Amino acid sequence: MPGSNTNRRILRILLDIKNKAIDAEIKLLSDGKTADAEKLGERIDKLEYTIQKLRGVVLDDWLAKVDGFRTKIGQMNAEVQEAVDDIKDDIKTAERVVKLMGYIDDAVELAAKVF
Amino acid sequence: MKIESKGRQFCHFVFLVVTSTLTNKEKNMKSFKNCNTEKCKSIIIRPGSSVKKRQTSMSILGVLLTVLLPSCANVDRQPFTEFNNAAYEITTIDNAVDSHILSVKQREMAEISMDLLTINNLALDFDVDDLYKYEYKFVRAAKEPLFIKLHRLNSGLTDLNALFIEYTSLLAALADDELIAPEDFDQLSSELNNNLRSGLKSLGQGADASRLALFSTVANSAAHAYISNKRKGYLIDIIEGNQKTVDALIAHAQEAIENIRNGVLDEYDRSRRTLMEQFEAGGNKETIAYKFLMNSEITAATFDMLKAMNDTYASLAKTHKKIGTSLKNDQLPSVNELKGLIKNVQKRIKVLKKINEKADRKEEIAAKRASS
Repeated sequence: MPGSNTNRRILRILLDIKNKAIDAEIKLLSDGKTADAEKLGERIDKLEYTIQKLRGVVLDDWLAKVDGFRTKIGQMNAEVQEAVDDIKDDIKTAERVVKLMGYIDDAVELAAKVF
Repeated sequence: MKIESKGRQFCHFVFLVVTSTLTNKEKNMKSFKNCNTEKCKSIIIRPGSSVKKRQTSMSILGVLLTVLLPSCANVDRQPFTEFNNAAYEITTIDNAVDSHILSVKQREMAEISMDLLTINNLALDFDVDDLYKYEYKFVRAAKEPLFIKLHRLNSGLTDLNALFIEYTSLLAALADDELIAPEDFDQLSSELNNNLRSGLKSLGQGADASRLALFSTVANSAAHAYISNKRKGYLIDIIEGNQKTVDALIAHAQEAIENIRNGVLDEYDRSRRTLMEQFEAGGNKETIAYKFLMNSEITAATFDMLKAMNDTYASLAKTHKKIGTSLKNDQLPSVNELKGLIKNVQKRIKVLKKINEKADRKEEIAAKRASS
């Protein structure tokens, strides 16, 4: 089964063929070559049907990847949030250390009084 | 990318400083005894007192902080804000997708309505065991109409865009100076000074205001510099670590735009054939010519808008990388290209909207003429 890139590439080529085929169909009609235009028209109908199906396949290919991306970006966001929280925690840690330094000073003072 | 455990680095750093100042007191005292400068002498208040020891340790602390943190790593929030705004603007793609989905739906519903069995595929199947479960018949028949797939593409793209906006907004929050607000550090300094003042007071010594201020400034700027530096490191790591995912996400979004482009082209050519058949069947030639032109104008405007969207997505990935590199090199990244592209998207959307409105008005007039 072809990959999504191949499907997209085929779709683009088919759309281009169809676009040019319609030009040819119009030319045949304006030249009065109705029978040839009709034959070409039938082939364009088939091409349209194939394009319609391939459009569905390409859309399915795209949709199949959405959940994976959802998870990946969710992880990315959790990671940045973790960094934000960490920085906030650092400030809290600094506060705790300031308090700890105060306690150590108090202990040193008490010791100085005793000795 | 793995982020270091919370606060570990900072704890390690602060405790290193604290323990250094406490365990090296004797050594510090020796060095100060050998010091003959006026500055050194002024530090020694009373030989052998704990106040002297405390002030010595504070000076060492100040020196350590200053030596260990030589520069302050400033982060400019502006590029992150612009990046966040650009990511938000990209969601306007919904407007273009909606009108395309509507045209596909109208065409497909007209086709479906030709056959009763196909119509029945739009009905639901239910489950006798799972009371609230349902499923459209077209899912089981593998005949899901394109307009429904396009609806799912639209909501998938909207979801991914929303998650990406959240990412850019978190980056902006991490880059925001409010996260490391100077007030928090002033508070720390004030607590340090209070500790010291109370210590001096209890020992019958008056606080030396100038020395306390020096201590406060050193500790304050050092702690601020440390956290700023760490934050900058996080931003660089996050941006570099996520570049591949961002690139893949942007490529996926561009793929969605390509899918819409292909759909628009297919529908355009289908309507061209319909108009051609109407012409052959003896329809009003002038009306058909106008419809031809109108379809071309709408399709051209849609293509211009899709291209603008596509370019903007590409620039988002490029800017993401550029912000990381600039941050690493202490440069201010330019987001002007992205801003220009966003303006272009907004312009294209306006043009498309105007053309669609003009087409709607013309169709209304044509319908009135036909009925009269």
